Amino acid sequence: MDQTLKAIIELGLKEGLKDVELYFSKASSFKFSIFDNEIDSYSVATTQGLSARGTYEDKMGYVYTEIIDDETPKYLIGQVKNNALINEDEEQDQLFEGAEKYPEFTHQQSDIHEVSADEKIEFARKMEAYAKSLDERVAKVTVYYGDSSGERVLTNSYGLKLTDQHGFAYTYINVIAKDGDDVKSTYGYDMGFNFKDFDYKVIAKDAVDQATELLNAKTIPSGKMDVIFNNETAGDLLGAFAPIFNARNVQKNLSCLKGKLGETIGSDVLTIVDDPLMVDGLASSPFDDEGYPTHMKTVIENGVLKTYLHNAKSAEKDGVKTTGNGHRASYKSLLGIAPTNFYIKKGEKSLDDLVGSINNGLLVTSIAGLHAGLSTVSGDFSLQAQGFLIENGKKVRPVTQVVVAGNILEVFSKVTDVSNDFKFALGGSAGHIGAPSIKISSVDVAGE
Amino acid sequence: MLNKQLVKDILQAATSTGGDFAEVYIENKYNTGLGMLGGKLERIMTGRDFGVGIRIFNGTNSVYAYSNDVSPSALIKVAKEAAMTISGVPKDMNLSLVSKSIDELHRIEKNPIDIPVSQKIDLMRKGYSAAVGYDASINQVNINYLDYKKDIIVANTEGLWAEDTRIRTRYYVTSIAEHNGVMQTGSASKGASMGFELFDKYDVETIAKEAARIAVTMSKAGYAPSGKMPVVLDNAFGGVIFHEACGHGLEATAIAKGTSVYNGKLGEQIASSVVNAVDDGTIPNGWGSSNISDEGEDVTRNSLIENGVLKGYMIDKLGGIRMGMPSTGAGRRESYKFAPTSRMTNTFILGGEDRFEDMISSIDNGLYAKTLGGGSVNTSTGEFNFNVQEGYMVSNGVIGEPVRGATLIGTGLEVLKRIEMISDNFESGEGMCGSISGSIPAGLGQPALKVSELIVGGREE
Repeated sequence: MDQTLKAIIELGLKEGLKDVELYFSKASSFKFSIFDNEIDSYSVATTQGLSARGTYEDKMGYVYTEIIDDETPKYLIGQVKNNALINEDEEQDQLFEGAEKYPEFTHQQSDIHEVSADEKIEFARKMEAYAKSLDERVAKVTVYYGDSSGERVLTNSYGLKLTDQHGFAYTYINVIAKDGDDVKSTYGYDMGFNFKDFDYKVIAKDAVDQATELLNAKTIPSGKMDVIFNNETAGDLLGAFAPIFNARNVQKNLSCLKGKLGETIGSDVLTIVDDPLMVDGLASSPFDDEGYPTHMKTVIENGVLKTYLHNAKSAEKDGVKTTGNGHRASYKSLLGIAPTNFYIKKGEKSLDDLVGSINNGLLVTSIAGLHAGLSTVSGDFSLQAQGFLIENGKKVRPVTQVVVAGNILEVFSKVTDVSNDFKFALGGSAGHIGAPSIKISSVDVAGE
Repeated sequence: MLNKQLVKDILQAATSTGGDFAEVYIENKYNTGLGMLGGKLERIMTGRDFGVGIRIFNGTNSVYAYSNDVSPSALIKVAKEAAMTISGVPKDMNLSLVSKSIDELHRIEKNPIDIPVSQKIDLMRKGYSAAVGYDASINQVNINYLDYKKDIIVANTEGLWAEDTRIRTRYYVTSIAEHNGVMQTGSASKGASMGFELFDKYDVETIAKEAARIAVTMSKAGYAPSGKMPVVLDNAFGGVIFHEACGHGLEATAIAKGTSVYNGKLGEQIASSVVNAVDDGTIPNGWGSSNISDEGEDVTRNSLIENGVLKGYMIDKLGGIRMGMPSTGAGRRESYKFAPTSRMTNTFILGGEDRFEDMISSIDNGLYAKTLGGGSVNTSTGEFNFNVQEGYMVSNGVIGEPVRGATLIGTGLEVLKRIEMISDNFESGEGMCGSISGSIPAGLGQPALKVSELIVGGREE
């Protein structure tokens, strides 16, 4: 592969490109699901992809390919030139020759290749059986498991050469509980570097408790009330709204944080951090996807917006330094901006303390419709929710068929408490997002 | 892409340990994606996807493996490793690989590969000008253009060899308007299994102005109301209600596992008698249409609900084996990276006889949802949601002031029975649908219809 990458760079320079950069990734993945003690699905794969980008006539062109053969160098360079010529962006990406020094950082090793497929399948079978044993109302269970390992290479004509490896596993369980005609469906999950850290009993019990506690849930009358987003839903919400911190979105009138740098946009209990050097962070890396060294940054500090997230291009436009958040979701993506390990800092109080402080309100334990029910431009959201009605400091009954609606900036301002029960969300490729449970005053809940 | 002898060898290796059936899926795709923001073409990505997926059935279960390394030795190795998860005696297989003759149901007139990119950019500029010129309050316009050409081959141990080409084109506009510090978006789009002739049929300026109109209207709108109320859903993307409330629940993906709320309800009255619904992958040039399914089977027009009675499910090959029912040709997948499963194609509620005006005048206090956004569903419980992009209050039978962005929720079994009136102004729209076999193009549509009760997730002033 090294020879191929070199040959492509050489061809690019020969064909008149000012510079060329290659992003190559290769991964092996394994996933399966267990249902009724049978292997319901099973998939193994090895895949690779290569993207080239380069400057031609002062503009950047991108291309990708999943096939790497004798035609590839010519195809890639030809497309880079064509795509550069039509690029009208007033600001162009600039390739980076690399830093003198990168942060000291050792990637966590993963044990996924030391564990056999049979062991993983046995683990999932046990999780299903255990879940079913916990409560007779548990009707159907599906357990999912997946792991992935691979490497990335980032190299360019200025001599940049960075490589890293990844390895991680995830598992989640869907529990369907029934009581007569009433059906509830919930999830439990875990993810991390090591299969051996997963405890099937903990994951199963979490999902079974959630499902059975929600049985016979009903809606509630519409109104304004205090709402707690539990750690999972707070993480989901933060992840969905992460694009508002993207400096390029701000610059292009696509973010509700436009014009708010340095302002108080949240309550003083709200602090949000982006930390690419977290020791056990799944999104950790000492360099970003354009090769800049990374560092931890406080994005919101006690309610004050301290910085947007930048890559080199957006930073240049704002006259600041990159925050090392240059990101490509895959070899098929242009270079953009994304958070890394991104989270709301936890507080001191327990979730019970937060519940105890509410006279009439809602503890939200699941939200849905995030891909459609919110806008990162306006900050508005309207999301299907489930959870528990709180009266006089206690959870009194399960709730479903409600919608919580509001605006993310209002939510930031009305955070009255954050708890100590922190959790990372089972997420996608744009960052590893986490949060504690957060209490928000006066949120619109629609129901009856 | 791959020669028949190699494919035969792969199928042989895949069934060498007693699998009942094996399939090889080969995909070669050329993509073009263009993004114009603020009138400047800033996002350009072209590329080539290529890979092979190998599937083996063993009773009611299946194993899937995929790879981009398509050298013969690598593929045989992948097939053998996948086969190792099964332990049995090899059965007789049909490796005749007879080429399936396929009717070209979706003719392409202007292959996008032959269209100079400058023409595509001109179209985007046209849309940009129309949107930004619509109103002074428009302060940003984003235009996305995509086209692709996907060649596939499906071969299996039933002797099938099927080749197909899929070409799709889509144009998507998002406008942002600002009024008194409130920023709101409006989106409109058109896509089809067509080439560049899509733009002879649909005018980009009309699409762009619609996106701008929605943004401007919503930037001056108040909050949507909160609570249970009757709702009139307009046509076209209004079909998202059926897609979420019912469509996913009728896929064998959930039905075969017995986890859908629609299990055991064939022949039952599950909707009001005015509801007739189909899933039709044969609609010429439909966004969700194709000549053959992603398992190489004929795609069908599948009547799902007739006069409110559940008539059929959408069934793929494995789903059919699990359910003991014939496949309806519903197997679809995003790419070779996914095993296929039963998915929707173009899913519609058919026209009725009521008049739109009568639906509105029948409402004392409710909502007119004119433009809808996406949604999602939990097929085990039937609880679904979808978002209103553009709404209006309805009071005393009259459409009133505009209201903005609320999500509507309900449960499938209840909402289908609450569809009281269906108009005759059918139109279709396009979306991307996500499930376990990936993100795929799905058409949806309906005429305007009235639902007697949904929960509207608005806000109090």
